[in-house]
Amino acid sequence: MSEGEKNDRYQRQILLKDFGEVAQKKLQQAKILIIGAGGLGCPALQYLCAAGVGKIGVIDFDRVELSNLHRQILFSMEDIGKLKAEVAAEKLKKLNPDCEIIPYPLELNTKNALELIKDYDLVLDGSDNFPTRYLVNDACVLLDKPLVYGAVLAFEGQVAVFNIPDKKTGIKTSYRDLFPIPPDPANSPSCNEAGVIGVIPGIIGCMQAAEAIKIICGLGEILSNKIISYSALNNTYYDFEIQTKDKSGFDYPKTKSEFLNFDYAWHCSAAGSELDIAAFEALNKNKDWLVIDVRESGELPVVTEFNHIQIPLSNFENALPEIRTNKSILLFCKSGTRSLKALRILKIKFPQTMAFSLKGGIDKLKQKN
Amino acid sequence: MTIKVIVFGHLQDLLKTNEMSISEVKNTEELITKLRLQFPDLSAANYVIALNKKIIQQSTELHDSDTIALMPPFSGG
Repeated sequence: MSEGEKNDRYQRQILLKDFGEVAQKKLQQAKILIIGAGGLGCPALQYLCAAGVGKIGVIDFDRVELSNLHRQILFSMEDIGKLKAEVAAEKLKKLNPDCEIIPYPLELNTKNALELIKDYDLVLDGSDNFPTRYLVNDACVLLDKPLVYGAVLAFEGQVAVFNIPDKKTGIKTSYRDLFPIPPDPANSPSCNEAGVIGVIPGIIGCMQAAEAIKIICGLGEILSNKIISYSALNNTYYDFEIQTKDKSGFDYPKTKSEFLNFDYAWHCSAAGSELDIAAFEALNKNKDWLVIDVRESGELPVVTEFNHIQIPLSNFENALPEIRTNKSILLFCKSGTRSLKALRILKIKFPQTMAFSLKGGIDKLKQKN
Repeated sequence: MTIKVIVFGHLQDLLKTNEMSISEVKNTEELITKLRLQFPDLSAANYVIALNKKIIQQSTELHDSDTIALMPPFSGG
């Protein structure tokens, strides 16, 4: 493309007094990695490519589905069944041939994440699940890469910038300063379950693209150490100031080698905190475990099979400080639901404690015996 | 003394509103305890607590007209 054409393409932004040729050049030299070519990734990709970012990598192993089209606006009917990363690259090349688009139609995991991320200046997270979000966050912390975070649900969205110190304090924060432990999937609905209105990822993805441009070009005030929560229904932007958290007691990879062997699926799933009967009985033989019945007093059946103490779920949180044990903990109830809730409370209060919930509860155990 | 409580995401389903007033609570711990008694499902929910837009990590004294915001994590993209 000739210089004249280039100037024409970016004329409206070069015209901006705070932007100009200097910022345009910074964009041209920038390398941005976008995680997910979904609802957030599509608008972010389009605007960053259109703005003249020099190199954009896009990671997504998924294929286009009809149910994506209400919010993933890069895709059309003829793309259904095709790999999102490849379709996105093809379309973006037509939008702006100045921009080199690298499609990665693969699953981001602990084995490839550090290698992939290290060559980029900035990461924009548009993923759709907690294991990937925690993985991306931890990888960016280990590599000290700026991370532009966005997430959506229903009529709301969140945006934040992690790993960049704010000008006033010099402090930088990460997603784990907000949510050090992944939430229990049972109490944290996803867009697959709760739904999302199409424009929400559009708005949030554009806000992420705006933050990415500001970071690359050194413009304005970066959204460091803050998270904005936007609600379309209430027309509100609410910002939260994030503070660093002492994370020493929490389970997360602190080195690159720990990262390589960290199991994010387990880390983020309640399944990883549930034990089936066989595993429960095996652990129960070990005297180092404290077994707790979280049913209310008087509930049947009476459990005589093994030693345990009783702390009803209704009083679980209040009674927790009295437990004072260094032992690992097994929780059970009638069907396995309340013990999972108790586990959640236990893990929030004592993140270092090894604790599990009996899957299927005492009903399942009695059936088997 | 009255505190304004605003909630985000699916916490609005648990509390059946996005905004409410709570009175006669000395600190954030008392406030959360009071909310949990009224909305038991809140006990299992994951969220950050912000006092006047600043996320807090331990129980903090409350004053008249303070705003407490509860924000859960979102995963969708």
